[in-house]
Amino acid sequence: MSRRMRLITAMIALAVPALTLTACGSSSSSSSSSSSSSASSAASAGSSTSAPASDAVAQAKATVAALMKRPTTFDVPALPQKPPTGKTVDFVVCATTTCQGFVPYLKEATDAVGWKLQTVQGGFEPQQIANAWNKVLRDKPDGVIASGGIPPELFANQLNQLRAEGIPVVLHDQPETSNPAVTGVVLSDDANRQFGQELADLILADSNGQNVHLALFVTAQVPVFANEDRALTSTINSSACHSCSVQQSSFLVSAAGTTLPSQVVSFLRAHPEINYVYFDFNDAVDGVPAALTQAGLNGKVKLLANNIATTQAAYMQAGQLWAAAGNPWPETMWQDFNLILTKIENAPLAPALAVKLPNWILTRQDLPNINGQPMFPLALNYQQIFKQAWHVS
Amino acid sequence: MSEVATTATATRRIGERAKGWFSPRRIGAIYVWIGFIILFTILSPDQFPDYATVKQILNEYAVTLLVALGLLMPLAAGLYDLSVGSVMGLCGIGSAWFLAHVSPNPWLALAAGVAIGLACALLNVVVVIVMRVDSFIGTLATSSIYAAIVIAVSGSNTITQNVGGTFQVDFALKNVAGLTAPVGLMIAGVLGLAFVLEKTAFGRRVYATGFDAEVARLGGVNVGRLRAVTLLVSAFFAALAGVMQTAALGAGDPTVGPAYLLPAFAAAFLGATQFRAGRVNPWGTAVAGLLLGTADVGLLLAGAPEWAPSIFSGALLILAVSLTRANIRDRFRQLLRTGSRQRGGNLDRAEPTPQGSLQGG
Repeated sequence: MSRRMRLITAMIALAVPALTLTACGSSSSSSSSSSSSSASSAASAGSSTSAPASDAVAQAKATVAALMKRPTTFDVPALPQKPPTGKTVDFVVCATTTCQGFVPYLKEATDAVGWKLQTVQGGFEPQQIANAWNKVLRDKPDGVIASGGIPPELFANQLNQLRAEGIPVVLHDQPETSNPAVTGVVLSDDANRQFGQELADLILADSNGQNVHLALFVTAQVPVFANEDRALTSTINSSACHSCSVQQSSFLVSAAGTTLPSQVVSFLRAHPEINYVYFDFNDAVDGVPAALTQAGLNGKVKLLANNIATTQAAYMQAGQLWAAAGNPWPETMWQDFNLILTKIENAPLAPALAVKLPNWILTRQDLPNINGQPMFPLALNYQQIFKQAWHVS
Repeated sequence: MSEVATTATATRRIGERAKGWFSPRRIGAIYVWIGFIILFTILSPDQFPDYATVKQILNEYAVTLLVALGLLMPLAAGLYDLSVGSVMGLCGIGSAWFLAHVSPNPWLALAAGVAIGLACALLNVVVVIVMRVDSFIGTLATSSIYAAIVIAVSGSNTITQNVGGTFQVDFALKNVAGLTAPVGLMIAGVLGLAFVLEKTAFGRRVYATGFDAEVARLGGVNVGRLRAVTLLVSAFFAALAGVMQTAALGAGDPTVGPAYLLPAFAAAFLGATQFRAGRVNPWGTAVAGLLLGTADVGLLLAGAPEWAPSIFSGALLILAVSLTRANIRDRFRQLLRTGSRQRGGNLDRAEPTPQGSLQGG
């Protein structure tokens, strides 16, 4: 092939994908527009029934007012007796900095009853996940806890083997599963739906239910977060919100802190009407405030996250992150272990599974001083509550 | 009459030279770039043709370009430095640790980050130059060590103490005409590398070493020392990039650095197809990085899905490298044919040894 032909081929080869990819986006945009138009029609329906809409806003304000106070207690059913000591629990930890922050809190819980904690580094890639669960099988622990929202289908074989060996498995931040090998799921669909609903209420309360144009940045890698996305979308698209719309853009977890800030800036420039931006994965906020400032978009949008850790807390303190759902992480880790103990003790699981962990919407005004810690308890007396239920001092 | 002929010859020569300079074979990426600017202006007339786009591309891609510029020297000298992503991560987390535990002074933190980078470079030198481990494998191995140190230093947690204050303002938010510190460093890097590689004897030795290390050695070049310097340069740029990225995040994030490795190599390889066909060079790298940035931003502004820029960058890289190889092969064969005609021999079957971006150490 001559040089000229090669160059012409190269030019065509570059232009065709660009146009094709843009066309892909155009079709995705048009589906967004259709969702926007459905939102608009919902909004107009709302304007014709303004009384229920204002009721919804009033209700949202009441809910938010209650959720902005730090929770003080929650109920945990007592075990029939003090659990045995000297056993081991394996904790499969996902690769994010947030997941790594769970470890000290689970250690607190296992130390409280004299158990040994072994951490097993998992990840988000299928091979890493398989390796981690194969290590768990070799360890033969007395219980297994896993974080990170990884779909159980990716380690189904290992779960079956653990079930055959009678080892209880507790997951958190996972969709509900009917897999009989899983003893229980903490922070599952309902809890995540609730986080989304609380943040939707916060937006309604802040905007008086008018002119909300929300951008959702979502990741499919943690499926349970789809519950938050759906709750936010359905509320903002409902008759409770006048002239409101929701747009969605997805990202890979690995883009957080690298290419995602630029993606957010491009999205906001392409959709200048957006005034609220929600991230369903808290690490996704990393780098976004500086990118917005560099692009001159600072203060144009309010950023919300589904959760808060060290970096996001720093952003909130600096006024760069408007609000976040305070996830009860320490309480979650203790509840994970509580389910293992309940199963080991052959106590009824249903009441333990029904434990309602505390909730708190965090803004700059009520952010506690977390001293650089990646996470913090919502109810300060959580250890005491669980220890009492476990009959340990 | 003879004056007219001389003027005509001179004009023809200037015309031929200009034709050479503006040939698509020499600056094809710039034509592609212009094409994309026109395309995205048509697709997003309200957003794309705006100074905000220029700021976004330069500010967001300056860090990637810093890493890419650092890669040029080792690549030109025939080495791969695959540790730059991890070095960047380690220097970023190191500067954050310094801010949190030693001093909140941003300039001292920058110096600490650079010092860590140079320490990493020394280990790379020991492995690649002293121990003579192939650079591809050696820097892959050291990369793994640096990544482990990042985890050890940070405990897998982000470090935010004192990172979001003056440090972030100075290195990520202060700007001139909307352009931040990494853009200034990137421009300085391009000019500095262009001067060193193209205008100094050292630069010519670097290219000569990359073309054929043995010939360079026989020509009196201290190949080991020269290659050691190139590894120091790549780590220096990676360190600057790491510190700047930490400032942009307002946090030392242990997961960030390695993600910059592939985009940086993409910019360096694509840059090798421009201006000095087949040779890595800073001008080409800058154009390549900005072309990739323009495509990223333009596609997203035009409403393409978020995965589109990655597909596009991948396609661009494959094309660029294949074009470079083809160009080098053509030039090499041309050279051999000329040589064989002069000597009456036939060396056409000899394999080209593409210098710069396409050969390992």
